[in-house]
Amino acid sequence: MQSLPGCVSKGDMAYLTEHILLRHRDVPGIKTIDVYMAHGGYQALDKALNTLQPAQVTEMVKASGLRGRGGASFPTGLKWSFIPKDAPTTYVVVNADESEPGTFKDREIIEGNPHQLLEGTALCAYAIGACVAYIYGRGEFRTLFVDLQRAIDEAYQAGWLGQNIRGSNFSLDIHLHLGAGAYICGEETALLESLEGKLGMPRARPPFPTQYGLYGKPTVVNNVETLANVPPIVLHGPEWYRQFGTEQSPGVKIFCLSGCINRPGNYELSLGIPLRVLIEECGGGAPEGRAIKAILPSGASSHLLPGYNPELPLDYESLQAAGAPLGSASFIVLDETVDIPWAIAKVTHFFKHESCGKCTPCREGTYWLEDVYRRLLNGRAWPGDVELLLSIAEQMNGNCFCALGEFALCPVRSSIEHLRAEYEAHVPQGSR
Amino acid sequence: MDVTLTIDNREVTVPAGTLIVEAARRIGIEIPVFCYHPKMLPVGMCRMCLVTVGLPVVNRETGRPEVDAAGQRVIRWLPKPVTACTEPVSEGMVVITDSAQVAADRKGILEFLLTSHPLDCPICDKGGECPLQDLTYRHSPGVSRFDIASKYHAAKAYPLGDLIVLDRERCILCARCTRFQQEIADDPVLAIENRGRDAMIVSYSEPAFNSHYSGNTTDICPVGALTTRDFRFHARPWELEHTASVCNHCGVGCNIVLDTRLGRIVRVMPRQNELVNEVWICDKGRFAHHFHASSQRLTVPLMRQGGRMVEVSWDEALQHVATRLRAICEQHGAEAIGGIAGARLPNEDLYLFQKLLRQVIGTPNVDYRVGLSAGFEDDIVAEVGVACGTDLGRVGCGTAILVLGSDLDEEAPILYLRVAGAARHGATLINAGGRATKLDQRATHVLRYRYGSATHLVLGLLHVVLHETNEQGRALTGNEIVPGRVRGLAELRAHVSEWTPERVATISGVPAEAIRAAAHAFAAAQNGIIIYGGEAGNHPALRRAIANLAIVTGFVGRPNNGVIAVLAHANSRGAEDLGIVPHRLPGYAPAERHGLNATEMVQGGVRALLVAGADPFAISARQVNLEFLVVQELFMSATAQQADVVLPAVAPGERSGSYTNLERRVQYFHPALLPPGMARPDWSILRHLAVLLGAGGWDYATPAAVFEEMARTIPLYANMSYERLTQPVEISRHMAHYIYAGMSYQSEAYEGLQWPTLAEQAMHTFVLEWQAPPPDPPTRGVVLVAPRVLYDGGTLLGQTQLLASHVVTSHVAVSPQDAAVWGLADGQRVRVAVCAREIALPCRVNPALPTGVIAIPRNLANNVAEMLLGEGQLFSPAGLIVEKQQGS
Amino acid sequence: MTSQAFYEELQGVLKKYPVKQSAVLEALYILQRDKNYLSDEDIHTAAEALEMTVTEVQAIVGFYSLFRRQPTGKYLIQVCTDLPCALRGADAFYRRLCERLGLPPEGGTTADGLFTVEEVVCLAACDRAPVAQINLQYFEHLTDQAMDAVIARLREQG
Ligand SMILES: Cc1cc2nc3c(=O)[nH]c(=O)nc-3n(C[C@H](O)[C@H](O)[C@H](O)COP(=O)(O)O)c2cc1C
Ligand code: SF4
Ligand code: FES
Repeated sequence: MQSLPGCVSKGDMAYLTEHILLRHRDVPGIKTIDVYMAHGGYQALDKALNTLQPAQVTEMVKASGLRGRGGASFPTGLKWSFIPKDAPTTYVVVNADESEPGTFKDREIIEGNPHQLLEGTALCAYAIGACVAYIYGRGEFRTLFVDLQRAIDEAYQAGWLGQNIRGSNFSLDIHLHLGAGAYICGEETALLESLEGKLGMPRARPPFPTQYGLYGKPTVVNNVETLANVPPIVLHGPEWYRQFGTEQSPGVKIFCLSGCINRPGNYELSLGIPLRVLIEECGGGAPEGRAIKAILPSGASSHLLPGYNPELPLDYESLQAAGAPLGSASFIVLDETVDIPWAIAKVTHFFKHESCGKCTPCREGTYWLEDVYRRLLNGRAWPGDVELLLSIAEQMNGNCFCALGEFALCPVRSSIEHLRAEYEAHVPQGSR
Repeated sequence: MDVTLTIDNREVTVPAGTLIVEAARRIGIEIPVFCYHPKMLPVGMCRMCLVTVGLPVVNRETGRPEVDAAGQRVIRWLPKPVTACTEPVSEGMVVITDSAQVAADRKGILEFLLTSHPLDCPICDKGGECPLQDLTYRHSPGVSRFDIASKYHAAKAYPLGDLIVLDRERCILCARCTRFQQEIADDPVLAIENRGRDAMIVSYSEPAFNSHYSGNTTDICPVGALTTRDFRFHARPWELEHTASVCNHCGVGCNIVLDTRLGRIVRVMPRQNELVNEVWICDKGRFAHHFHASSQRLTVPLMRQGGRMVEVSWDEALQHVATRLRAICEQHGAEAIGGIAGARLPNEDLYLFQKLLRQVIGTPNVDYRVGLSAGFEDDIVAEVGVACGTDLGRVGCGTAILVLGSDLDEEAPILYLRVAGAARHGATLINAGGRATKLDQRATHVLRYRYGSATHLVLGLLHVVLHETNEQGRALTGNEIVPGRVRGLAELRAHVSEWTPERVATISGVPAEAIRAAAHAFAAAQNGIIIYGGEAGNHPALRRAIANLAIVTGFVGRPNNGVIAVLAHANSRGAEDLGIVPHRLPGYAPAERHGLNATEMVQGGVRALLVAGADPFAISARQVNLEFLVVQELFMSATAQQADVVLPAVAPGERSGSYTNLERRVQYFHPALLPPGMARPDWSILRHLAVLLGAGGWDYATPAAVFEEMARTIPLYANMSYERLTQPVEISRHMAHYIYAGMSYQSEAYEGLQWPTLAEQAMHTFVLEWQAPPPDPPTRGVVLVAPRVLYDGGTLLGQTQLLASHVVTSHVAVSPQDAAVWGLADGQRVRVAVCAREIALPCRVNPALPTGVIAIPRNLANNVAEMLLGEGQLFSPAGLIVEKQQGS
Repeated sequence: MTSQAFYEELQGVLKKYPVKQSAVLEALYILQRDKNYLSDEDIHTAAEALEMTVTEVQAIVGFYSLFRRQPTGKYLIQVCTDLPCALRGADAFYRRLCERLGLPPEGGTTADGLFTVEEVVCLAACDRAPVAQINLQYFEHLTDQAMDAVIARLREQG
């Protein structure tokens, strides 16, 4: 076991000895195919092509307990297994739209370790019988995608992509596709619409993409980080992967740390490590030793986690229990100097700006929320405005077409719930 | 399969797949909706229809629903409310629509909608029939918590096109209009631009909102955001009177409501008839009603005296007509008299028209085939027409439709919607024509034949059907063709044996494989419909071949099987049925004595001519060479100007009567207006004339009496009566408010009655007669075609100012390839000459045309195409000269 | 860009997809590339090339924020002022940038037409705040001085 990367015994160590996803931090130049291959690159694909049936790949991913890293945390192997076995055409779509404020992990993988993403994509395609995959990146990634295309070209040249890969009867083309500035296109069905050249408005589900996806064909949509996990899982086996993380949240996760923190950045950690490690050891705490007032653990769409509990284990279940799901693990730190209504007004503006307009509660609700926040911050609040915010949020709750609308109200509700006094302070004296 | 569920504690059983919202409506529970429309795919955008849904917990092992101690089914409630408009029912489902939670959700959605709504109901056209207003009264909070200073502001009168105006503040972004244009009209010229609250409906086509169906969006808009220029600010809905009527602009026969105020039509709305127009009408039907109120209408009888037309009394006019006719008859015999009636006249009038001529005057010279009707008739539908009970709105998978030589979007717009809809629902659609048409985009097979070779193409199809087998080795002929009922099969098979797809390919230009594939696909269907139009030509052999194809495939005599001829006018079918042709009597009885046809009459075959609702002298080249001309008209038409006596007739909205549509459906319409001045209905004029000519028994007091006689004497119309035509049907009455979001009243709905074809008679024997096709069309040279267009500049249409800019002005359409060869560009003048006739018109490069074909669309205002081609020719043989006019 | 060049480039894009319409975003990018905005003619070109209606293409342009219908300065400077960046001083950085370029606090285009400055939402570079994209190229860990240097360089380039 000792020779395998990142192998540490559970609980002992917060850091990994080696990165599993952000390998470019350990291996300079791994973004080129030569270096990648010199360090075990494409061996997982080779193993799959030579020794594994497609269904076995899916089984391995299932057994690893890998969950989607795009935010919804859906078990990845299970998702793959929903693809009908006899479907003549299927697609893999890689979600590289990465637009959640506070999230910048996929970008680093694409920049630093692109072949691992491509290999993961190929493994997924092999598992579900797809011969075309698209990587949908946000439009702002144009320059990044130039390099990613170069990596793809290398992979074609090396025979890891294209027709009859390495003499097998598995063929795969990977195409890059750039969005054009719309957060909603990160939502998987809106992404598919956008990929089809339509407005990026979400589709009603069911049917889910695994039934009716791109061009109406069964499609797996996975996040960049999710797929980057797949090659090591296939290469070293699910048991190896399960050494990391907890029983229910196995594996490693990239935590994006931003906001009021000394060392913002991506940190790849075992799931389940205490919050303290992320904030203090990795991030070096808030600037000038200030106290942390609250954390948004999954970007703008977080439920606000009030205060700072250093021992909180960073895994799906513990954060859920704390009332703030882990989602994409984009930790925005708010220290004691931050005015909470100001911060939440920022994210509310974001959601209003990004609401696609398809459904009433999201379109009108975000518009209204922003209006109330504006007067709150202008010192022109009306009596009852805090209640009004809650009421607007309640009217959106559960009623929106897609999760964007629900996202928008999470920070509003949770911040008022936990830090109401900060809001009341904005309501002029006497009118409370 | 049926499914039983519980809604608000009431059980209801509905077919599987029914949406919750529809299931609820079955038992009178109204779930409010905005974006949902039963004719379009559900989208679940507005969220107004949220309900609480629970599903029975099923025991994994037994597969049975779990029950609790009290014997009640255990229900698992879904965590979030569900949109009733998108969710299909399932067995044992429990739906709650009357809880406090649901009420709160509805209130919330309405409050959201109203935050950016201008609340300008007092000046809104939709006020009084607005779902948003109605639902607000019922479900909303009553006070607004939104800061009025932050209201969203946008353009109040944004023209989406020249017919439709959008109030952007009122729009609630339900996307009904954009979805209608996309899904139903096949004209995706409306879209949502921008995101979130900035989203708005736009049209950037050129011209903007370029669609024949645009008005429908105003009907289904659930707020006052979309209004027609025609109705905008003209009346409040509660001031209107509503009259059930039938559109008189084409043969589809859409059911409409005439909304009148102070004796004028202010609005035309569709009326639901699922068998004809569902809930749609085209823009011509909606807007071209202004002829009723035109100041140009004839209101007094006129007589030529000393070269001038002077006003006279009815008595004087009719006496004069009777005297002159009698005199001519005595001097030259009855056959010196002839009659031409327009196919716009209702059945009653047409029936009396031919009866007057044939029985009272005693002449066989009767015809309706002038103008648009010239050159295209039908005599096969009586035998093999689509059978009674046909409903194009319900066909899809398993049905094949062959459209031959018709541009439905222009000629019969609502039929286009229905055929395209059938294709959308899985029907095999074969679009065969000489040029690209809009229907191509829905077609599974496109056959582009050389003009003049449609007959050959059908023979090629027949060849495949009669000589080939399918993959399983079975014959392609229909199971239905019972040998005992079909005669001439062997002979026909022998005749078509030489018409192989390969041979037909060389003549028609359609690849042999395409012919084969189309024939196989057509024959493989369970139901087959053939729709043919004038651009296929009008050769008797073509009609025979079409009938033969329908018969040998077995697509006759059953609902959703048979032939439809796309005749030109609202009552062309009636004119055929009632024998307004010189060789047939009412009910398709052959005439013993064949009379002169319209062209012969006009070219000097008669001395006196009676014209009712037709304009045979519209083509200016034609000289009037008659001793006596009587015209019954609404307007001072070209023919009326030459007349000796002009009798003012009433318009359709001013009277009752019936039309027979393309599918042989006889439909009654009510009077909505009083006639102007002294105008009288045509049937009444004819009746008076008959009496003055000494006829007995012409005491019809109403059109009903005429119809009663028709029903008595013409077997096709047996058992029909106005009462039966207006038998109310169980339409989705309770759905009215969301089918037409803007209709404050329950409109009446009738289905009318279809007369049965011969094929439907169990004992009928089909005779597969062979007729040799016309000569092969030349493969070189240029063909001129004169397609029919919706906005054709006819007299009635000409009275609607609003549509003036839509009228297709005379031009020569040229394919891009030919334009390049001839050095032509858009707008340059091009000279076209055929047999000594010539004309110069602006050119329009049109990629829908194949090379070697030029098109001059029919513009009835100046009849250029007819003048060039000769009336009744839909396309020229070759021998055409086309060139760029010098100096342009 | 000539229409022939456009069609040639588009051919390569179309190969990636089974349906033409999928190429609409990329087609618009190509058309927008040289001048930072899409003209009416561009919209028509795209519609024709992809067999869409002009209305459909226009709707796409309106939906996605990276497409513009109005000319911008030669360099489009988009500064992220979303929450993570704002927590690291992006708001003030943005205001100072506008001030130094002689623009109102909300941004705009400089008189010489060289720069358009605007605020945008998160660019997925929060760890390197303040960040900006200039014609879609990332500039990270910005300070006033660093930004001035970039601007000076771009001015020189003209
Ligand atoms: C509004 C919204 C935005 C989203 N944005 C992203 C995104 O930028 N990247 C991503 O991977 N997933 C995003 N998601 C989640 C995706 O819908 C989807 O769950 C994910 O791509 C599935 O991949 P995974 O299972 O690998 O996580 C978003 C979801 C919503 C509702
Ligand atoms: S389709 Fe024909 S009958 Fe129907 S509204 Fe239009 S013109 Fe009238
Ligand atoms: S969401 Fe169901 S009617 Fe609009």
